[in-house]
Amino acid sequence: MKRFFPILAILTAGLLSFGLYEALVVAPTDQMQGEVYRIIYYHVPSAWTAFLLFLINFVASIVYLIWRDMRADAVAVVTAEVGVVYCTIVLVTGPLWARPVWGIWWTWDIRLTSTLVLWLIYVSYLFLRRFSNSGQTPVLAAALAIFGALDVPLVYFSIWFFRTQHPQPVVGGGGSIDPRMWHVWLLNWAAFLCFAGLVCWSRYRLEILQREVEETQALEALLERSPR
Amino acid sequence: MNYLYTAYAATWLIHLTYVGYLVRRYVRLRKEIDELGK
Amino acid sequence: MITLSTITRATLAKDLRLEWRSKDAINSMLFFSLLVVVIFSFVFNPTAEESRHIAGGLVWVAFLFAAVVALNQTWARELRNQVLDAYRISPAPANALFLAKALGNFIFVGVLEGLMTPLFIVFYSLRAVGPAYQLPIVAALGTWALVVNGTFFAAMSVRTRAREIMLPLLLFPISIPALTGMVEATSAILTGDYSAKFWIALLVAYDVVFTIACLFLFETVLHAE
Repeated sequence: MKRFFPILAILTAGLLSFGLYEALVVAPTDQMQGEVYRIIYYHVPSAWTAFLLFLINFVASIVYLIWRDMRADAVAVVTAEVGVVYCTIVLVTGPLWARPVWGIWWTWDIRLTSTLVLWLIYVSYLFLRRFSNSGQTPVLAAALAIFGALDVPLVYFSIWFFRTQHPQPVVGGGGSIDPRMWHVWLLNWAAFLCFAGLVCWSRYRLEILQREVEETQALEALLERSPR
Repeated sequence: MNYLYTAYAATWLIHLTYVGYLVRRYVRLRKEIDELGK
Repeated sequence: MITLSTITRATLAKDLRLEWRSKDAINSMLFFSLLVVVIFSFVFNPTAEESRHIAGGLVWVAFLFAAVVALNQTWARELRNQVLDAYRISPAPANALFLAKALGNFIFVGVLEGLMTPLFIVFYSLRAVGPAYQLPIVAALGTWALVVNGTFFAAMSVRTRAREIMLPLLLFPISIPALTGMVEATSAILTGDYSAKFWIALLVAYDVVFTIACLFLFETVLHAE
């Protein structure tokens, strides 16, 4: 398993560089938006990656609640953290794209808004993990993840209907996508997935190591206190 | 045009900040392990 | 045989009795709510026409803050007297306790809303252009949405380190669809510009989904440790 890491790292670096090149140089210029549209080659793959990571978090949380396997809990915390990183990128690149193209930094567009709410839910998840006592954290966090997942369709519907009643400027790209753009999209998505995989793997190993250290420290404290 | 480069730079800045955070945590953990080893 | 409803009723009666006797919480809550209404009136000073459009949002934000203060206290008393630990050991179904707490909070926050509403009407010269009979329905559904999740998250937060801030941190993001529903429905009724029916349906869906989720997961959360 460990030997995979350097191989994957090199592959990822290659994919990312190639993806960047394709995004900036090879992909054709958009007729209406000019060069700025190229932001989507980073914005959209980051969104897909974030959603995938949050989905894994949801599954891991359920697995933990049913089987109480601590590895599932570790997967949950890892995917939540990395997911928030990617989600932050989506929320930063989105307005940077909207401003030059539509003249506004933000709008209650359904995708941007639901991404923002998802980000808020998972940041609150991370706060809960940080502030709860370590014995309870896995169960409480898993419960919150489930609540978050149940909330997602409700968020989507509420925003959709809000926009139906209060028409807002449409930010998400309409119209047909040039087929040449598709493969740049997918390439960058593959690159970012690999990168996310590397980061998650590292974070997972860090988490496992941290837990072992804490266990050892707790054991030591116990042994020190016991009467000889 | 600046928006494009800012967006790409911001993406990598965020990624590298997170990786840096992981590295710092790892270094601190290593130190704790060495302490335990003693 | 001890049934769910017996315990629920007993716990609810106990909580209400305690509140009525001490009037601790309710007095401070009342004054807090009054302060919120007054400050909002100072800060947002619209014309009568404008106020119909924004009152929905104002009112529900004020109710939200009042609810959070009320919810934070829900479990504090139980924690002080180790009641939670006693519950964990007893064979009583955890849901009974949850339901009692949630209903108690519902009544409590409902009373607060009932007292704040006339003040809002006065300060903002409110008048419903649309079907006013829908307002109590929206109020009930919206309050339950906040209270059911609030009681659940309060139980989760009560044993964390940053107890008081943790509740709103957890509650607000999850409540966004419900808040949108409450505010939009209220605005729809006050302005009469569009129908509140979809929002009421959304609130019903939200309430059903999360009531079931809370009842399902409360036992697990109570025994977490």
